[in-house]
Amino acid sequence: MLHIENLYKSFGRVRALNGVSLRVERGVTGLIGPNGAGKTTTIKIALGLLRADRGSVKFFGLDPWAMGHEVRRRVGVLHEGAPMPKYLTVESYLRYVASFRGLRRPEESVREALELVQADRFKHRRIGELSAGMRQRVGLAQALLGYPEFVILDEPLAYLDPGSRSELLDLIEALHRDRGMSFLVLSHILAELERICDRAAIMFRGRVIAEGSVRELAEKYVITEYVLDVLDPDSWLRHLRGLDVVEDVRLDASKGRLYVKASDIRAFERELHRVALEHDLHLISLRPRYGLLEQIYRRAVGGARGEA
Amino acid sequence: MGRLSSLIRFEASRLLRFPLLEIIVVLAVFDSFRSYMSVSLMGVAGGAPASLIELKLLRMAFYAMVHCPFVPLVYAATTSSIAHAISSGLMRNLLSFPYRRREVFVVEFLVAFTAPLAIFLAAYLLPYPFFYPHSVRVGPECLSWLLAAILSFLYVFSICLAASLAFKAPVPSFMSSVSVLYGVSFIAAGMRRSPVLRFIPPYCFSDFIMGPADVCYLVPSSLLAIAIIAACYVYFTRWLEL
Repeated sequence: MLHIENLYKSFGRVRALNGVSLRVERGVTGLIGPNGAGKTTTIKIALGLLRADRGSVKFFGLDPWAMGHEVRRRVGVLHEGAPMPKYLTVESYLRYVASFRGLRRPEESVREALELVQADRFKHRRIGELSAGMRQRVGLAQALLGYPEFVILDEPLAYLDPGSRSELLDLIEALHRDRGMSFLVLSHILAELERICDRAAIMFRGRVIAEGSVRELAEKYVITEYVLDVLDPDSWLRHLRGLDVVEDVRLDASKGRLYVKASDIRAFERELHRVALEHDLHLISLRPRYGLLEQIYRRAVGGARGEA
Repeated sequence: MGRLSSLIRFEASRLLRFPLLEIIVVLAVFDSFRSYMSVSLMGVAGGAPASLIELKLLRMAFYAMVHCPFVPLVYAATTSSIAHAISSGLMRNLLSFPYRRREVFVVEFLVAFTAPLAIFLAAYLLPYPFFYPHSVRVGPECLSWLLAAILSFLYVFSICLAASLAFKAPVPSFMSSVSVLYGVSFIAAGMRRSPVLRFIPPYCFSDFIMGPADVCYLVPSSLLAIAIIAACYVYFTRWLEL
């Protein structure tokens, strides 16, 4: 769907993109990276809003700078900060959007979009009067209006409370599953993004430093940080410190919890079982310290920082 | 066509909302009233034949419109709305819908240029039939004055549009437009005998007894305006990054 090859973009003397290559196919893809990594710039170029200095972009096989209107016919977008006219009511704005998109049944499309993002209760209010979270919902309704084939969401979870975030992720999952819509989600909230992403790309300092399915990335950037809930933490701490495979172990005595960093997770798990059996120690739970995507991200970005 | 008319309505509602629309209307009506009052006093008191007074009145309406000191302010304000749309992300959002850039540019031009022009024309010309209900005539002379008014407005608009696209922020756009236009007026006012003055709007018309031939003095400034607007079009459609 979206193929980017060796993309370069500078703003004055600041190089925003430094040879970005990325392939986004059908499904739900996460584009993650720290602030200033170049995620939004990449998306703006893909939509024909910015012109690349060098490189090639094909969105649905078209050059977005030359044929942007054709690309955007098939794409719904939520920009970061959801810029919208404050003086219009939610419903009247979405009616305009429906006609901008050339939808055949604008009234019905607006009603459906409002229901999808649960914005129908404030549809008669002016956008300028809404809270940031409500505005974000209107922005989402704008992106989803008419069920476009591909949806780009730049920080869609921003300003939303935890319950609303969860509902939005469920909605993305459902739209992908039931309507075959594809999503490219730019976000910092990795733990929640992990729930819905088939694939992920990690950007750092204007480059994509890792790309693939979440499983592929997990295998590449092996998870090594775990949290252990145990019954006798002092004994566990003593024994774990003696293991070669354990790089670091820290005890939170108030919770009876150990934070372990291991060099080889398979070897660590084998050793853990051995220690428990040999010393008759009880392990209540063992789980990754961070979410899967967050660990992949930390590892990939850490590695890239090291290389730099 | 439906998509374009929606865009026109959307942009009109954005550019011409409270208080800008009200300010434009008030300024246009005020200046129109001021000019009608002055010409009525002059023309009628002179004891000229009614047909001459009518012609003089209509001519004066166009003359006053061309010379209206508020026009630079109005266009600086409407075009700074375009700059605001660029700086606030509204233009980026708008261009994320399936519109060609040239469609958006044409709509911005239509709304930002035509709407104030239409308001001023209405304010200056609508009172005319009330003054002389039985003798409204539209001859070639009237059309040439209308053309002169449109070209003068286009000149002002082109400079304001260029400033809005150059600065992409409302305050610098407004300030630079106003500075350039009033600056030119200030300089022009200081060189009353210079022949160059004949080519600078609104000083092309040295007095209100202007004939159709006087429109030719607007050619250089109109060509300049067209060149500026063409440059803005090329910049907006090919270079503007959002």
